[in-house]
Amino acid sequence: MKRARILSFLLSAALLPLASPAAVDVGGALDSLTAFSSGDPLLSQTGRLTLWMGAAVGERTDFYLQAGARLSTDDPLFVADLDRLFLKGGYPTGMGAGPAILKLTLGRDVVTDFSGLLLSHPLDGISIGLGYAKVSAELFLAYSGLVLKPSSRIQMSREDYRDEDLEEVYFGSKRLFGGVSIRFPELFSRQQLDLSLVFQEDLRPLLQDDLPQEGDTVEKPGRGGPLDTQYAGLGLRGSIRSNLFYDSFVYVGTGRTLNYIDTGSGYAYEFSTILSFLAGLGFRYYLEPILFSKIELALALASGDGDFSSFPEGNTTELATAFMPLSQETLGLVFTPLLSNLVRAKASYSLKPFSRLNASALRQFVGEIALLSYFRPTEGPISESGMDPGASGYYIGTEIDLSLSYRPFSDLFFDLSGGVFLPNRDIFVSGEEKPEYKVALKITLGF
Amino acid sequence: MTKTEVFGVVCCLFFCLSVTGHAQSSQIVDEILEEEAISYGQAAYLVLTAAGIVQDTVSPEQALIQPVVPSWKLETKSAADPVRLGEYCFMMMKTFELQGGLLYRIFPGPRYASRELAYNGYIKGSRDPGRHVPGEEALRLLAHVLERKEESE
Repeated sequence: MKRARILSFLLSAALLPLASPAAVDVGGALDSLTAFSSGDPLLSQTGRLTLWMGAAVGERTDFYLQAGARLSTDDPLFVADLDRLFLKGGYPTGMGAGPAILKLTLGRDVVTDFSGLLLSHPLDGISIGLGYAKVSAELFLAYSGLVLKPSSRIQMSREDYRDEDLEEVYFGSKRLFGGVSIRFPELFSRQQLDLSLVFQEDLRPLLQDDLPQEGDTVEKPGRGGPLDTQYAGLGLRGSIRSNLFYDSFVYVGTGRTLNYIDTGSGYAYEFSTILSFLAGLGFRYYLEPILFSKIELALALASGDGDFSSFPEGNTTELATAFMPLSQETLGLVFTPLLSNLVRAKASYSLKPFSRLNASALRQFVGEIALLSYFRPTEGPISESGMDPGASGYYIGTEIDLSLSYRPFSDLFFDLSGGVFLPNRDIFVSGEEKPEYKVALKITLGF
Repeated sequence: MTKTEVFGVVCCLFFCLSVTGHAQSSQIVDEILEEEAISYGQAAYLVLTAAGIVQDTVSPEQALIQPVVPSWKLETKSAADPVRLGEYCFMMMKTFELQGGLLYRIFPGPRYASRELAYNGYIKGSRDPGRHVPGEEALRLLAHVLERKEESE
């Protein structure tokens, strides 16, 4: 039965050119982002055009393509890339001992882990999902090296950071990703349980011959070797009361990293073992009678390594304990560190101040204020530059964000956001200890 | 009123009409529920009877000759031709005078009518405005639209 479903999927792929024109849907979006900040550049303007096309291929298979082009005053000036390109099918398998539905996806799609903080990135590959009434499972295998460099948010190693400045490098980090996840959507009393195993294999050693090798005694400043990691995660989320929700998760990260360390008989490149963790806990409380208010509290903790001499791959011992996420997620508007050697505590409040008015257009106005405080669990470095290497202390700084968003129509959206980051002067070097700010206006029109 | 309740009201409305002796409307609704792709005439029947513009005793063919139909400015079709999702959404948007998005106001038509109803979460599954509409989905969409109309008044 499974073979028949897979064969049906492949046949649908072959029949794609014969898809009926009437079954093709197209659309797109125009985005404009204007930002004014204390950093460099002072003012930036970015416009983005996204086009998408969806078509039914066969009874249960869909084709989807989404591409975007961006024009910006920031470098690079112009980028065009494929956001998504896949065939996706869902095939009921009927009654019996087999799964209720078999899902197949082939192509480029955004792969996300259940927490959204470990991995959320477009990858090229295949995923197979099995869905039962009370449990679902998904297996995926994908490659990141076909995503253009400006579109890639995968930067895990020194070589990944080095590629940023190399004009002859067009694509992002070349890694093989894979994983399996299991979800129990209703384990008990509206609680959802997620289990996940994810790995990434650095393919750079297969493609480059100028990397440091294990046993080399001559240091190559700024260079690094392969960085391979694996993660095992568990997440639990659900409702505590009708208007109070929570989510929690923990990941254990393992792997190996090639570092120039003291082996006892001199310095050389040796593989160190990675043992790290990421944990998070969050609560959301909805107060609909009070102008649709929402209160959110969230804490995320990523382990660090006090022995790190630099970031990334600054490990100096046989054990590296700094957590390294697979893709970079934006944690705030102004201060955007990588979730590594970091604790972020967030408190936010949002409401719809005009929700009780009769004028329906104003009801969609949403205001939100957020307070984000950052700490480091060890005195090792974080991803952001400007910190004094010799400074002690764990408090990094606090950011205050305010956003006003308005959707006057279903296809038109405005978002005005502003934030200020107040760094801890005791741990930042002179010149980097000043507050930073940013104001951004985003306008989106869908068509 | 929950969505399930509205859907139930629509079905009960048609059912009660059939119990009171309107066997024709009962038969039409039964036929619609069985359809994998409702026709242009059936779509017009559903929308115009729900809006109270025509009596439920008319046939789908008769529903199409109502004065309001030309104002839809849809592609000319016969009563038996299958209606597309975008066309059905546009029928409802026009008949119940619902406000749409910016592009619907500039370019009123099936495409942006279906976009609007999809944005509101009324359309499950494919949002392709060119696809056909199963009978059950047609009734469900109509129930959502009626609920939205009620909320806006």
